[in-house]
Amino acid sequence: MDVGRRPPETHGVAPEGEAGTAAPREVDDEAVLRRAAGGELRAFELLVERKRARAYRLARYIVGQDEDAEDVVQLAFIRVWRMLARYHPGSGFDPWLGRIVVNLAIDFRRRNRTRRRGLRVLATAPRPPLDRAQVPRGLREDEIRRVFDDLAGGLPARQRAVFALREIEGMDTDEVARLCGVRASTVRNHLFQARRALQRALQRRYPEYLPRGGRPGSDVEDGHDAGD
Amino acid sequence: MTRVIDCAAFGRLAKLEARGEISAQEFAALDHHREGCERCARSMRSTDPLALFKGLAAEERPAASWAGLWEGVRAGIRSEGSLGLGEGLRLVRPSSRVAAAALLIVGLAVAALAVPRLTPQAPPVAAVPDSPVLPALVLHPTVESIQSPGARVYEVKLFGENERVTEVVMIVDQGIEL
Repeated sequence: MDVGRRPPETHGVAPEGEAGTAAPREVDDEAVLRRAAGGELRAFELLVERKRARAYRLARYIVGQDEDAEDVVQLAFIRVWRMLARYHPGSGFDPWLGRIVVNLAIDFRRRNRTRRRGLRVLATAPRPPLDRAQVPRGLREDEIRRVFDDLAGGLPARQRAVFALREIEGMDTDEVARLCGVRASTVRNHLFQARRALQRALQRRYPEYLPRGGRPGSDVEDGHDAGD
Repeated sequence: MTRVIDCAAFGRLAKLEARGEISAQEFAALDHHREGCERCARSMRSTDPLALFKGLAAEERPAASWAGLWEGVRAGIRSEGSLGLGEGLRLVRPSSRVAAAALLIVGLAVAALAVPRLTPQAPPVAAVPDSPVLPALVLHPTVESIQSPGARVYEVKLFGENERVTEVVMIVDQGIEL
């Protein structure tokens, strides 16, 4: 596909209904992709609608701001449209999109690092301690988000990305390595650095979230019985 | 080469890892084991303070928050020029447009204050040929006498020895070109 061409906008997607409505799941991603690759903008809109939530989540972990994540997602889908011709059907659209989003988000965060430094000064201002007894077991999502943004704000972009993909999204090391374009050993090294920095920051700034005993690891068992 | 450890060693290392007391090599062994042993992974997760963030994966955005995404994507697709972070071009949201407009208004206001106010053109002071002293000074000038609406007249008396008084008259008028 030529970059920057103007594809037709509104033909060939009638069976899928209006793009603003819920996407029929029986039309699989590959079929939608083929139509989008053929220049059908409405098919691509359907694809955006299906994939935007995960793309946003990945971007948000890394850039740390709602609006920045929206920008990254928007740019990612524009890039996907332009690179659709390079996509190999059957190779997995989600990892491909994930790679684009993660790389854009890492670039974005690096470029805005100076601005972030200034914001971090505000973020590290003293805060009133939370009463551990009042912290509910299921913390509200926005509170968790705030703590994560606060603590992860000082991490380098790639460490932040690796931590989020491994520990939050639950991807395995090889998946993360493919997504970030690094070796598995590098992923583990980034994860090691990120975890250590976050553990220290959590202990220092949010001790009320530590496990019982007040110190991380104080109630970790010495491994389960391997014979279980 | 990642070291292979058993579940007992994993338990010991997990405890140390939570305290930040293991090396990168030991962590690699720990992590490698964790990925292959669901029980150990679960055991570590149950006590890992950083598991707190696991809940972020389930976070969902309200449907309204997607408003404008597709319009932005479509606009980017339609543009013939290059769009992308590499080119340093940021996408323009409505809030950004409002911010830019506000910035423009503030800028114009500051510029208006910074520009020196225009002084009304003062009529030229009548020339007094061959006179060592301006007649206005001799006659205790007033604003009206020098015929310049922007002028100010200051009169100062300096008392010297032998009751000698020196009278100084200052005429300040930016409209007068000397």
